[in-house]
Amino acid sequence: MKAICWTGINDVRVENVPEPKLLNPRDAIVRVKAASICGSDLHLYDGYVPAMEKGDIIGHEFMGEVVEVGPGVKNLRPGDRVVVPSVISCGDCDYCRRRLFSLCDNSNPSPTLAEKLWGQSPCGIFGYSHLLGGYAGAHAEYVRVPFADVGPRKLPDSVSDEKALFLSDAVPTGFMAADMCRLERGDTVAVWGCGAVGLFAIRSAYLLGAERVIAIDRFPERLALARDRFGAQVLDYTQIDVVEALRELTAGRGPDACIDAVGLEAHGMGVEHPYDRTKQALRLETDRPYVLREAIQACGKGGVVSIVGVYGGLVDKFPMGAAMNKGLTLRMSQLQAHRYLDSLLAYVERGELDPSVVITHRMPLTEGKRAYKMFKHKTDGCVRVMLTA
Amino acid sequence: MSIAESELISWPEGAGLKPPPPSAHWGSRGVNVGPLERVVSAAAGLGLIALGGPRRRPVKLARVVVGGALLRRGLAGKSRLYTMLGLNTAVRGPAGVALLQQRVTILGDRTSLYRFWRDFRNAPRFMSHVESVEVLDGGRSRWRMRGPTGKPIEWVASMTEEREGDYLAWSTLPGASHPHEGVVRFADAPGGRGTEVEFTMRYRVPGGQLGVVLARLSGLDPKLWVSESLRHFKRLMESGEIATATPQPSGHRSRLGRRLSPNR
Repeated sequence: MKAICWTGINDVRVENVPEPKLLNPRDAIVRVKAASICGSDLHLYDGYVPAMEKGDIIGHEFMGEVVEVGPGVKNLRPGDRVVVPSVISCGDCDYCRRRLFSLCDNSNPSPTLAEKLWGQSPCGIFGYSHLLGGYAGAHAEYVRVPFADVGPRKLPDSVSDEKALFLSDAVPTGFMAADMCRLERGDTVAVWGCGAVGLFAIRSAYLLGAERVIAIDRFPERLALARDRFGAQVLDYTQIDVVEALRELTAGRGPDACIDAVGLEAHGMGVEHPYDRTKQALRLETDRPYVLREAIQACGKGGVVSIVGVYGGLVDKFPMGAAMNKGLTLRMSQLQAHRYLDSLLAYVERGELDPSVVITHRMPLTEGKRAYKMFKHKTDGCVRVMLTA
Repeated sequence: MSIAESELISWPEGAGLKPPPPSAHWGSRGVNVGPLERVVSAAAGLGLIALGGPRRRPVKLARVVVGGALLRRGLAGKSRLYTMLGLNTAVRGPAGVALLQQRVTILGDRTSLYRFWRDFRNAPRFMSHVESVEVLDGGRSRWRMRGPTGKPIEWVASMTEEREGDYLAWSTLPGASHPHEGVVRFADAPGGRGTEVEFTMRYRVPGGQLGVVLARLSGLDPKLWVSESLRHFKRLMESGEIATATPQPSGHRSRLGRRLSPNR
């Protein structure tokens, strides 16, 4: 079968690989009907995630059709059309039982590296390096889905492939970002990053009671989407000092909650940028925390900084003083897909949410190389690419 | 009094379990360099720092750094290198006796977990490299394990102490080629989080202290074996299966990649 394989930094190739097989009783094999390249895939592409090996199949946001199930999967049958969350959870450990699915104890087959790096290991994720399980990813024709009785959700006929696709990752991540903000009616929320996750965070913030959402990015098509389709006020950080603007827009209070939907490859302006880039190049600092710094600086007193942008290692010059003295709550998490999937699917089914608006390009899987390049450089107004096998 | 390192890993006592000889692994207060060695190290360090010699910056810096490390090692008696390798020249214990201990939390009740473990026929399902267990009479069992070199290792073990839901202890019979003894304890985890399972094993390593280090360096680390087995036990008990990602499809591997991980 064809699959997009990571072959080096800034290099992916579509290769011919064997088809996956059932390995455990709770596995299923899914034929991928649609997949998307996520912003976090770019961290793999750009070489910021360790433990990648040449030939690894990548991709974690997808939906498809069940073709085979193991004996332990009773809720799915071949032929079922499903959306599959990008994080893998067993459903039985203490964390899964407490609905903290991305903290699953049992879904990372080789947790030792993550344990060394972070103390304990989070769940496994499709196609996201051997740090997080080494599972073959979903930018392929078929994918093996472990714990298939827990993750995949059957789709009603009224929800098309395009509408379902982003329920795998971007929609629940955006929703979780807003959920972590503990929003109250009338709140003002600032969202850094107008990629798909940021856009869904904007929508979710409104759904959860925010009165005003201010979104920050620099790409015109993304800012336009945030303003016209998602109803946010937009700021271009290359044209304006974001912290100052947020203070003015809230008459001195600062936003009640700040969402970081950017993560470790944040692009900075000004003096910090060469500092962080140099340290990163020398591997003295692994992550670039511009958005974090700005969010903490801008956040109103007693507010929440909600972090869904991916971070992997260490950041420098963290404004701990600002966070502590302003009494901020920092909440962060890897995607808790299973927690939100059912209610989000209901939103889509009722027509209250149409995630397909973020799709700007549709390409076959075999053009994966071009798709990644375009998505990375955001050329041609690219916001999200939908790949079909 | 704060918890000492030697309390974290120690042979469990109570209910007739034999207290251990002085631990071969842990000196007091983290000291792991022997007294004579400390004197030599400190002297060498002082010498290096005070020594004249090439004035070039990098060499001088290197001298001071290495000399400082040796001096510190001598004065404090602690060596990070030794800690990393698990060496200890400070304690005179029985050479080549290693003590392993590790704990894991499993969401499940004590008695069911105990019973599953106690039925040693289940062992191959979660203990790495254990191929088969034959239950004999009188609390004895014959174990067959795939050894580090691929050759099978066999031994007969006998139960020494047990209390259902609490602990089970075993020991190899005299004359075993790889003598060892161990205890598995089951205790309620706080806050309804299930059961804390503690696995302790004491065994003789051929080759003494050096044998212990060599085993670790060559990747045949018994510590890894314990942690892997405990993890497999937890996963089997909680989710009914042991998560795996091997074998699975992948694209073209680099030559080094193929050699390092042939299954991936």
